[in-house]
Amino acid sequence: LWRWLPRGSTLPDEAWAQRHRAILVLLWLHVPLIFLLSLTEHLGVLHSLTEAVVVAVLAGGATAERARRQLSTVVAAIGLMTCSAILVHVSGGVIEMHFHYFVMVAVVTLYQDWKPFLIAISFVVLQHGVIGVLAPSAVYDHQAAIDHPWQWAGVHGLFILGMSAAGIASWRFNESLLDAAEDREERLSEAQDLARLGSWEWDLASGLTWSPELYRLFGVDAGELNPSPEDFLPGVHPEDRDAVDGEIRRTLEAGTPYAVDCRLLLPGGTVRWVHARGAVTIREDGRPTVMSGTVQDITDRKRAEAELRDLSELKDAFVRTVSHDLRTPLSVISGMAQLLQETDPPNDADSQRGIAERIEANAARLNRLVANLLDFDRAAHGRLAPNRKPTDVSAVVRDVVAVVEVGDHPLRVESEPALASVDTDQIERMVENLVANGVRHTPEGTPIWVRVGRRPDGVLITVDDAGAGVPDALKRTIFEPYHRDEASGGTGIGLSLVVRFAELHGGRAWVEDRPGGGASFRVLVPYEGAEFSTDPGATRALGVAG
Amino acid sequence: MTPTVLVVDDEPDVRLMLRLKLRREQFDVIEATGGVHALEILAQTTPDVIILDLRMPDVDGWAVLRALGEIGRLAHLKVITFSAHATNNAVEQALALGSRAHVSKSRSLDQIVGTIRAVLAA
Repeated sequence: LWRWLPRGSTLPDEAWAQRHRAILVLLWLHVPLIFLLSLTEHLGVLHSLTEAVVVAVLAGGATAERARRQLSTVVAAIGLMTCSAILVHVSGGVIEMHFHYFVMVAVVTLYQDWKPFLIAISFVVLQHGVIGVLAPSAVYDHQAAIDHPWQWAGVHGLFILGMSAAGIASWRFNESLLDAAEDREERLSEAQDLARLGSWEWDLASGLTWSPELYRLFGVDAGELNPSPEDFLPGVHPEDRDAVDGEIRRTLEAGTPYAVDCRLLLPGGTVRWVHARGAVTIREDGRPTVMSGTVQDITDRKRAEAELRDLSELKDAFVRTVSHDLRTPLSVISGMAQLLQETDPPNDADSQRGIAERIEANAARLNRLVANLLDFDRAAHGRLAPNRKPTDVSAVVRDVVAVVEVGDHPLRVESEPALASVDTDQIERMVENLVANGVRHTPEGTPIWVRVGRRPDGVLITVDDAGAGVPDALKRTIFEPYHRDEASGGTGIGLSLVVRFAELHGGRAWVEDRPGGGASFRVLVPYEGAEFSTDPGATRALGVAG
Repeated sequence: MTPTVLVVDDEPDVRLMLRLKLRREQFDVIEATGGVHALEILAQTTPDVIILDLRMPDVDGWAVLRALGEIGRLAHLKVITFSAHATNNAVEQALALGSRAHVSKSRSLDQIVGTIRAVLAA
């Protein structure tokens, strides 16, 4: 049974205030009504005035205590029932006047609250019983009731109860509808919160409403802003304002929906990307009535798109660079081979040998570039674990230096025996790349020094040049994959591989200024080697930052 | 009279290859290792044709082309721009800056010589 009964007190304050205002007006109207009716019933001015004053006092009390909802409601309910009692009394208990009770109970039901409702019913029963005993003709106009006032009070109460049941049912339905509406609103709000989607509706007659999520998107508290159509645009980023304004105007004029991506500038200065949609309902005469729309946060998507675009540009630049770098030695090999084939004039043995030498050197350069590409790919997939064996690092370095292509750069080597547990191939690749880097970035004819020495914490390999040196701002970035000086050649992965190989050995690679001018590239490899990482993430293979 | 070709390229092997070929074809060859070097040479002498690599460290072929244009020497200097792989856009831009022709490094040596002769004859 409890489940079927309404809860009561569920009326929102606004709705209560609206109904209460109307009920108070009704109550006050009874004051002159009762006075005039009493006069027509020949009760005399003083008596009539007394009856009216009783109602006026209750009406005044309810009006004065408007701020206290419970109290004001109860006083008003008693006031309404008192009106019924007085009307029955002044009419001499005319039975038709009892209908007034029914109307008043129905009015009290409008409060959708148990306290005034129960007070109203009790009032009917008590008033009929007590007054029925004391002055039966004030409530009843027939003998049976005058003889048994309580019994007839019960009869009257029963009818009131019956009509109350109908009132309660309608009250219960109202509550269910209210609950359902609240539930829907709550779910909509949750959905909007999840989707980071705010909505708004602009009734051109009554004004603009924003959903709670829309306030959050604009970074303002609901209480702080009473939304108006003019509040939307200032929240939009100044650079996007004209475009959005244009879209909204076009929609209002043409009646076609709009969909636009724009930035919001939040009070703290944060920029948020949103996708805004809107549509308008046009009346038959062609004028807009209601405009509504949604605003969805798409900052994350925009950020991901930008990152993807950057990566794609990086990839494009990488492909261009690699193609260029591969093509130079290829065209030299091809051109030299053409020269070898020429018979007019025939090549002498010396020039043949010289040309063949250049073909071989350029093939070796191609080999190095392709090896770098393959290692770069392996590093990206974490498949570069060094195969370490006790090795004399200086012997490995001397072997590489003997065959490495340096053009007309004088190459000087200083080394001392340095035994360490290393991957021979990776040591070779590091020296090859560092020397090639020196050759490429320094003027022809300037020397390059390669040194191998024992240090307390490992073997130090140094490749020095007498070029312009590396500016401080670039000392870190030149080791990042893809970094390259646009015009200087090199795929920009050679140095990143040097760092990678060094780290795989538990060591490190860096660049300093060479005393006397130029750059000093250094690789330190521990004798035994610390734990190394094969985690592909650590390579930051596609990462932009080092 | 033997025509003189100035070869401007930072790659020693590319210069060597062109030098060997052009000498066989009866050209005199002078070489510049970069943009600055080329401008130094051009301050003293006027070759009959210049093979100019567009992509070089520091002062590249574009900078040389602009510098020559600014001092009004392109009216008398026949520049052929040279690159490993240029987009149509880059070629148009080079021609607009005053280059007489563009030739790709992937062309055969005979084709490169053909371009030089055509520019000399024009």
